[in-house]
Amino acid sequence: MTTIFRIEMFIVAIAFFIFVVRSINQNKLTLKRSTSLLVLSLGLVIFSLFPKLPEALSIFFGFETTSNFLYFCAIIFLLAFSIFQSVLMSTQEEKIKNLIQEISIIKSEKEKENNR
Amino acid sequence: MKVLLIIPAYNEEASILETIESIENFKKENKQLLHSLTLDYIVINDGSTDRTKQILKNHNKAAVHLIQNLGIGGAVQTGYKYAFEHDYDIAVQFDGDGQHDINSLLEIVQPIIDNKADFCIGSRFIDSTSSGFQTTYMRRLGIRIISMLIKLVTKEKIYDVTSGYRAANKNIIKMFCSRYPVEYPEPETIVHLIKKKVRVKECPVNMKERMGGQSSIHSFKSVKYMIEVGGAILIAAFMKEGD
Repeated sequence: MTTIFRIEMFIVAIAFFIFVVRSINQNKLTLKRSTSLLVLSLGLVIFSLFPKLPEALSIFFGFETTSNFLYFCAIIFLLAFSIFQSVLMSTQEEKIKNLIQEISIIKSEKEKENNR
Repeated sequence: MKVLLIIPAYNEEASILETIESIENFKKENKQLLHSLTLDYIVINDGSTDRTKQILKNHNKAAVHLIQNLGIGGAVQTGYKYAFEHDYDIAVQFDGDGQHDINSLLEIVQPIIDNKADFCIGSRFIDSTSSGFQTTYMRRLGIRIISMLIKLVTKEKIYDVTSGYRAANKNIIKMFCSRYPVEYPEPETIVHLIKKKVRVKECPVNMKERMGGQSSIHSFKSVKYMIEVGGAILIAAFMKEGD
């Protein structure tokens, strides 16, 4: 990895890390939902500080260049992240639907009793 | 035996009262036929934006008014939940737009009372003389394709796969409470039920042209509907019994 690439990666990783931490502290993001993002940004910082590490890993896994290895990791991470997000969204939708149904039934029955 | 008619209604101000009156008249006229049955109905108003809610309230009709629009699946499921909570033995889906003929009710309820089926679908196609209304050519073609798909994945032939005139026994009510598809529930639930080894039966009923309102399958002609329903059926084909 070139020095310029390492510096870019370091700056992006630090900025990302600060953004996530600030979001948690401003109550825009819960810690529970951002652990993976924090780990990711820390990983990027470590990779940019110790470039030998991703290089060794990419050789070990049979990649031709280190950047290919990094892209591959990023795609896998994003795929996993979006699947978990979709699962989460589906469960939320289901929960909201159940709430609407229950509240509507209770509300309609209460109104019926009041009319009596 | 307690029977509940679940009437999902979305913007049905033009026809909902007429539908309810037809049920009330049917009850009055067929007292002897219904001797052992208690027949109730519940309208599920799916967040209508027209005067459906006001009309139902003014005439003091039994209804659940959803506080948000949920779509046909969510509305019908609300009815099943209501049926479950009030301990109904049989729940029948019945459209609020006047398409379904209440006089065919016993056709689909009787097999369940006799314990010959767990789930009974009112069909326009099984006996073409039973129903005056047979819908358009494109719709029939779509229905035929979906029917073939269902046959492919379940080995059972169901003709009127999109029929919303369906009766369910207590077990199915419970099953539908915990799971009911949101988008186009009719074909998908058929596959789910057959996969779960439920006895599904199809009986001829009469259907009429709708008096008002819009079909929940307004995009029927579009490819989107076929792809989504086809996809849902194919995915359900891989269902395991514990799912």
